[in-house]
Amino acid sequence: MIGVDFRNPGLVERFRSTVAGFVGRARTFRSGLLIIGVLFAFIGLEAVRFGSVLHNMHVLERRRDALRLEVQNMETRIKAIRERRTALLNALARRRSNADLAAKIAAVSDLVSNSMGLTHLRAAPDGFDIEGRGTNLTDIRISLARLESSFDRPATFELRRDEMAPGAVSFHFDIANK
Amino acid sequence: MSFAFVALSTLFAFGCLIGFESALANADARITAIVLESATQNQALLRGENIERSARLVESQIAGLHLSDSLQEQIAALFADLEAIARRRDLRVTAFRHEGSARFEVTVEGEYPATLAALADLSTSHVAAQASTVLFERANGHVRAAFSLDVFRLGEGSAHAHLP
Repeated sequence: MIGVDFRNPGLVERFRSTVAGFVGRARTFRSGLLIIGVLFAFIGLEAVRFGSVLHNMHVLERRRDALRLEVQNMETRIKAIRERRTALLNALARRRSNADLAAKIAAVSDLVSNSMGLTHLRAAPDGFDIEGRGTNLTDIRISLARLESSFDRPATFELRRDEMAPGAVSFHFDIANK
Repeated sequence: MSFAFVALSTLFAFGCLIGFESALANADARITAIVLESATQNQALLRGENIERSARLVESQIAGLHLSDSLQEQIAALFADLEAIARRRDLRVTAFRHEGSARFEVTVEGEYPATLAALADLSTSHVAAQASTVLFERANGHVRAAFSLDVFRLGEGSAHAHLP
């Protein structure tokens, strides 16, 4: 028969200390659990924060990739636009060169004395070729000197008596572009 | 609960926190880089949009100069221009010859200053043409001027096609 004699003081003391031990351990366990709980709650919060940041990062990456693609497409279009603009500017510059050429020809013909008649004037990318006829040799000499001094490139010229018109002299001035 | 278990758990938790913070710092740095790159690309897009707006002007000028037109349309426009210039300068267009590709030989007759002015007028014509060779010859009191004109046209393959 098993029984407890409550009149035994040692037994009561042992029971009390056993209960106190249980209570103490329970308190320690609760404190530990609380600490661990708080720590893991922090870990959970951090994990949620990290997940949110990762999600945002992926969204931003997708936007950036879309932007990259758009910029690449735009660069292709811009390249084509630049090529067309260059071609347009080239065409405009070459169209404008007609006025420059006319001005240059006018300047060259102004160098020739009025008493002389220009009979032939050819302007080409390879140079100028001028022919004229006059009766006054001094005017012809002055005109040739002016023409020669206005170009800093070597020129050739030729003078000859015009057999068709007595007293007249024909000249031929040729200057080649470098 | 033993002290060792609590200590280990705390240590583990701190380890996790440090790991998360480190990963978050990396992610933040990466996000900053992405945001900066996106801002740069946005600026590039804005610049590109401005260029695309200016492209309309380029295209209208290309259309105005008949650069994308067919050769037949360019010939018609060039001849109309030459007629207008000849009327304005009191000249006669005596020859208009297509010499293959995009080259034309045009001959006008009249006073020398008028023929010279006609050459200058080509710089404002509706067709982008450049006189490569010009020949003035005096005969019977008037001047005959022959212009070798190169007309420009944009090809389909390249914007520089047909440009000398």
